[in-house]
Amino acid sequence: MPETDSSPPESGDAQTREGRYPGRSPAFATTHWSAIASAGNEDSPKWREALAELCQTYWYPLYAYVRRQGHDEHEAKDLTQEFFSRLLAKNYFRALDRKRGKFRSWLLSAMEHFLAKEWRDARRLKRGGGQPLISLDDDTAENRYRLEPAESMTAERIYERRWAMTLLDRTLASLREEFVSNGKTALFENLQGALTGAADAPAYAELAGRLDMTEGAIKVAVHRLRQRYAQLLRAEISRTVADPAEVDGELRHLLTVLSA
Amino acid sequence: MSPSHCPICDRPIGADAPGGQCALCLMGLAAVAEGASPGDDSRAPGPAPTDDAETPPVSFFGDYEILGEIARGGMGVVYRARQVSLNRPVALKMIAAGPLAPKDFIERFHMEAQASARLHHPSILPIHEIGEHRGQHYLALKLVEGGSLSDKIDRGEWPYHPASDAPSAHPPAPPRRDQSVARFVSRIAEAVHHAHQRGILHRDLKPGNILFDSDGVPYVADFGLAKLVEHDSGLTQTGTFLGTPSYMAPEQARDGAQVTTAADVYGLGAILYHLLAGQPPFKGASVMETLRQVADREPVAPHELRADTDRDLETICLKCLAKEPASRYPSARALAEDLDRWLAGESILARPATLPERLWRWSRRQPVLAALSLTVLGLLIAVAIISTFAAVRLRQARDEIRRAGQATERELVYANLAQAQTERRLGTPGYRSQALAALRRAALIQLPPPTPTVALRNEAIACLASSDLKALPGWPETLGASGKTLLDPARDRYAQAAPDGAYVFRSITDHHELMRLEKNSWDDPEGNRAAIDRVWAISPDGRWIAGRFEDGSLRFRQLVATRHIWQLNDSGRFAYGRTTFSPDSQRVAFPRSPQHIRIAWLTNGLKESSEIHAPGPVDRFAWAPQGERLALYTERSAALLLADTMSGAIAKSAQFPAPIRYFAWHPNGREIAVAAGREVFAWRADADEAPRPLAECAAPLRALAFSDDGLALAILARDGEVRILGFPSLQELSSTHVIGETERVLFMSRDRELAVIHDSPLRLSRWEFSPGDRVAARLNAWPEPSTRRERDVTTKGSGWRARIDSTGRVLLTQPSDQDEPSALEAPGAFVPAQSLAWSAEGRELLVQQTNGVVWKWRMPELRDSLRALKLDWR
Repeated sequence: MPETDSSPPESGDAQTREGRYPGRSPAFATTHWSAIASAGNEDSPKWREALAELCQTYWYPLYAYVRRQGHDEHEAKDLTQEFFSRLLAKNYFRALDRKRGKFRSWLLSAMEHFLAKEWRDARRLKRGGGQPLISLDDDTAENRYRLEPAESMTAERIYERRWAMTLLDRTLASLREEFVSNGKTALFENLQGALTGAADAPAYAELAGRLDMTEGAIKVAVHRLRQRYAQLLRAEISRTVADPAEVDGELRHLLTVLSA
Repeated sequence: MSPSHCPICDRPIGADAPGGQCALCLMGLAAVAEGASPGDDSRAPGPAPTDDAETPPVSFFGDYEILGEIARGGMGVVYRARQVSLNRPVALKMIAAGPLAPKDFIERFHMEAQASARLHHPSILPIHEIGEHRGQHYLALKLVEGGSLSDKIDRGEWPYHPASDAPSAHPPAPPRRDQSVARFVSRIAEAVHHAHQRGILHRDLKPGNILFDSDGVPYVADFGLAKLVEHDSGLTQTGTFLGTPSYMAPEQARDGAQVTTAADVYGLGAILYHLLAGQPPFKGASVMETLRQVADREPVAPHELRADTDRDLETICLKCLAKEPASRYPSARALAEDLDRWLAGESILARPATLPERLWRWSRRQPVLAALSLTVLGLLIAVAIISTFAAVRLRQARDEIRRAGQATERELVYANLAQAQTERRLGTPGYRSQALAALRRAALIQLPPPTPTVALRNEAIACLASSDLKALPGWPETLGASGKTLLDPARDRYAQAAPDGAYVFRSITDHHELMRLEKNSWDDPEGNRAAIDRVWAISPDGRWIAGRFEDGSLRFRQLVATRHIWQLNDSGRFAYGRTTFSPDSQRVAFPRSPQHIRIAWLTNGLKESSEIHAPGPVDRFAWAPQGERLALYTERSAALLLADTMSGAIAKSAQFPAPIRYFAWHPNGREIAVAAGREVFAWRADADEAPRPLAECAAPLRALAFSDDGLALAILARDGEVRILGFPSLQELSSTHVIGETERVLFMSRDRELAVIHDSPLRLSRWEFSPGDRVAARLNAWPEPSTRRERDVTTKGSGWRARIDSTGRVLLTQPSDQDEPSALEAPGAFVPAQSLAWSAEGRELLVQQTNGVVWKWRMPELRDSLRALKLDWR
C-alpha cells in the first residue's frame, strides 16, 4: 500500500495528535457523522480529520471486536491500527455506501470488510506501514479487554456493548468537564453517584451536610445533573447517526444491547 | 469492586460501569428526555423536584416531568406529570393520532381543544395547555385523582348513601339516594349548559367522562374531543369506531354529524338513568345490538329495575331519553331546573308519556312497521268483508316485509365489499385475511338479482394475487438460554432444559408438555448410567436425539425407547454441537476434528461409513435434502464445498466474494442459497455453473430459509430486515423488520407461517405468511418465445376467453357464466396490459404489461381459492 503524503510523519509526537484530536476534551467534540456521511469530497484533509476525530472516540469497541474474533493482543492492535490508517489515508472505502445508516453500523461493516478481504494483504506490510492517525492507547486497551465477559458474547455483541459503554463514558466525561470548567469539581464528584442512584450513593441529607447546601438545593442540583446528562448523551448519539431523527431509534437499540 | 446491584433495575453493575453506575439506567436517562441541544442552558431552572433518591430516572416531555401513567383509553395515554415551569401537577393526555389521521384532523382537534380551553366553569375540567412536542399532540389538564364516575359505579361507591346525613326537614322527602343523584346530575347539566351557551357540544357524555377530584367534586372532561378523536384519527378499528353507544342519542348513532345540544341532554339523561337503575339504558351483547336497541327500543322504566325509584325522577329521566330530540328538554338548563324543582318538592314540568303518545312515537320510529300494521289492521276489517280481495293485499304486505329484509342484507353485502376494498388499499399487514374474510361473509348472503358477485370476485382475485405478512403474537415468554433450547426439525415442538437438568419437549403452538427426558434416564448398553448435559440435535423423523453427557461422551438414542444407545467415548474435544442427522434420519454427521466430518449409520449400531477431509476448519455444514451430499463451508479457504456422503470425496467447490454467513439447500436438492456479505447467491449443485447473485440487502445477511415447497426464500439481514422472495422468480413478496438480536429465520406450519428466532434471550417473532404468487406469479420476461401473443384469446378446450379492454384491464369470461367478465388485477400500481396468451393447456394465463413485466395467472389455484370463498364461477 502506498504511503500517503497527507499523513503526519511517524515522528509526529503525542502532542500533535493530542492537539488535532482532542479526545481528552470531549466537551469540544463537534464532528457529526451526518456531516461526514453527506460530504462530497472525501479526499480533502478536512474530511479525514473529521472522520479521524470520530474514530478516535470509538476505536475501543472495534478493538474488542477484533480481539473477540480470535486475534491475539498484538495482532488485534496492528489490525485495528492498519484498518484506521487505510480508512483515513486512502479512498479505500469509497465503495462502501456511507450515506446509509449509522456510524456504528458503518464502522463495523467497514471492519468486517477489511477483515474479510484485506487483512492478509495487510499482514504482508511492515507493521505500522500506515501512519497511526488514531492513538490506540496501548496501555489500557488490553487491560480493558480482559474485563470483557468471556463467555456467551459474540464479537458483534461485544462491539455493540462496548459502543454503548463508550458513549456513556464519554458523556460522563463531558459532564464532568463542564463542571470542572465552571469550578464545580467537588459538586460533581459528590453528585455523580446520584445520576442513577448508584448503590453506594450517599443520601441527600448526607450530601447536603458535606457540601454545605440545603437538601432542597441538592435535589435541584441532582435533577439538573440528570437532565444535562440526558442532553449530552443525546447530543453524543446524534453525532453518530446520519439523521437526527434516528437518535431515538439508536437509543432504543442501545438500550436493548445493554439489557441483553 | 465487589459485584453490586443497581438499586433501580436490580441488574448487576459491572466493574466497567461508567462512574460505577448502572449503564442501562444511565442510557435510560436519555430515553424519554428533552432533546435540547447541548449548551442550551437558557432553560428556566425548575423548582426543587419532589422525588427522592429512590425514584426512577426522571423523564421529561417538553415542559413536563412525567411522574407515572394514570390511564389508557380511546384518546390515548394519560400521565400524571408536573409542569416544570409552573411547578404544578397536571394530567398530560397524549393524543393518539395515528399515521392515517387525515391532515385536517389535527387542525380540527386544535380548534376544538382551544374552544374547550376557553370554558371556565367549576364543574368543567380545565385545559391548561394544548400543544405539540416532537410530533406528539397533547393536552395538559387539571390533575384530578378521584377517579371517574364509571370507576365509582364499578366499585359500588356511587350512588352513595350518606349514612350520617341529617334527617331531611321535609317529611315527604324522597329517598336520599335519589336526592344525591338529582343534585349531582343537576350540577353536571349546568356545566353542560354553560358549554352549550358558548357553542360547544360534548358529544360523548358518559360516566367515564365525569371525573372527581380527591374531595369528591365532579368535573365534566373532554368537551367535544373524545368523539372527535375516536371518529377521525383513523386509529380505531372497523366495527369498534362507535365506542360504547350505551349512552349515545339515537340520532347521533345514526349520523354523528347531525348532533345538537339535544344529544347532550340525552347523554345527561343516560347518566341519570344509570345512577337510578344501576345500569345503562341500553346494553346489548355487541355494539351492533346496542345500536339497534338505542334506535328501536324504549328503555326499561327504572322502577322496574329498582322498585324504590321515585316516579317523578323517572319521568324526568325518560324525558331526556326520548327518541325524538324535540321531545326532550329544550336545554340542559331546563333539565337542571326540573331536577331542582323535584329536589325542592315542587311539581315537575315533565309528564309521563300517554298511550297514544307512545303509539305515535313508535310509529314515527318504525314507519314501515307502523304503516304495515295499519294496513294489516285495515285488511283484517276488509277480510271480514271481502275475503278474496284481502288475500291479495296480505300477500303484498308480506312481500313488502321481505323486501325490507332484503334491502338490509344487500347493504350488508356492500358494506363487506367496501371493507375488503378499503383493507386492501390501506395494505396494513394482515389486510389479506381480513379482506378475504369480509368477502366470504358477503358471498354467503343469498341475494336475489342483481347480485354484486362479479365485484366480490374481482376484489377476491386482487386480494389473492397480493402477498401479506401479518404479525402474530410472539411466544409470550422467553425460552431461556439459546444453548439449552432447541427446535425440533419438524418445527412442531421444542426441547428445553428444565432447572432439574431434565429435557422437556413442548408443543410449539401451546407450549404444553409432550414428554420429559429425565437427566439420568440414559443407560448405555452396558447398563452404565450417565447424566445428560445438553441435547444437541433431534432427528428429522423425531425418533432420535444426540446429546452430550457429563462424562464428555456424545451419545445417540431413540426418544421413545430407553435402549439403543450408541456412544463415542473419545469425545469432549470437538464441537459435537454441530452433530446433524441426515434428512432421512438414517445417518448422522459430526465433526471428528475441526477439519474432519465423519458420517455414520444409526440403524446398525453407529457404523461409521465415511469421513470428509476439508481443506480448513469446517464452520458450517448441511445435508442435502436427499442425503447424498453434504455442503460444507470453511472460512479459511472462503469456499463452499460439496462432498459425497458415501465416499467422503469432495465433489466440487465454489468461491464467494465475501465470507459466508449462512446457506440453505433448496428442497429439490439441486440448488443452494448462500448468504455472503450483503448478497444472496444461488449455486447449482448439479451443474458446473458459477454462483449467480439473487438479491442484495442494505446490511450484512444473517440467515436464509426456503419454504418447504421451495417456492419462497426468506432472507434475514443483521439490521432486522426480513424479505421474502418468490423462488425462482425472485418476485418480492413481502418484507418486514424485526427488532433485537436475531439468529435464524424459518418457515413453519407448512409454510403458512414465518418465524424469526432471536437469541439470548431466546424468543420467536412470528408472522402469518400469505403468498400471492401461488395465484399470480411475476416473471421478468415472456417465458415461451413461441407462444403467440394477442389481445383477445380463448382456450381451445374449455372455452375460457381473456381479453384486454380499451383501458388495459384484463377481463376473463367463463363460457357458461352469464355474469359480466371478471377483471384480473395484478398486485401493485396499475399498469395496462399489452398482450395475452394461454399456456399449459389453458391452466395458465400469461399477461404482459406495457412495462415488460409478465404475470402468470394460475387458473387451477385461482379457482380453488375462489371456491373456498364461495366465489368461483358457476
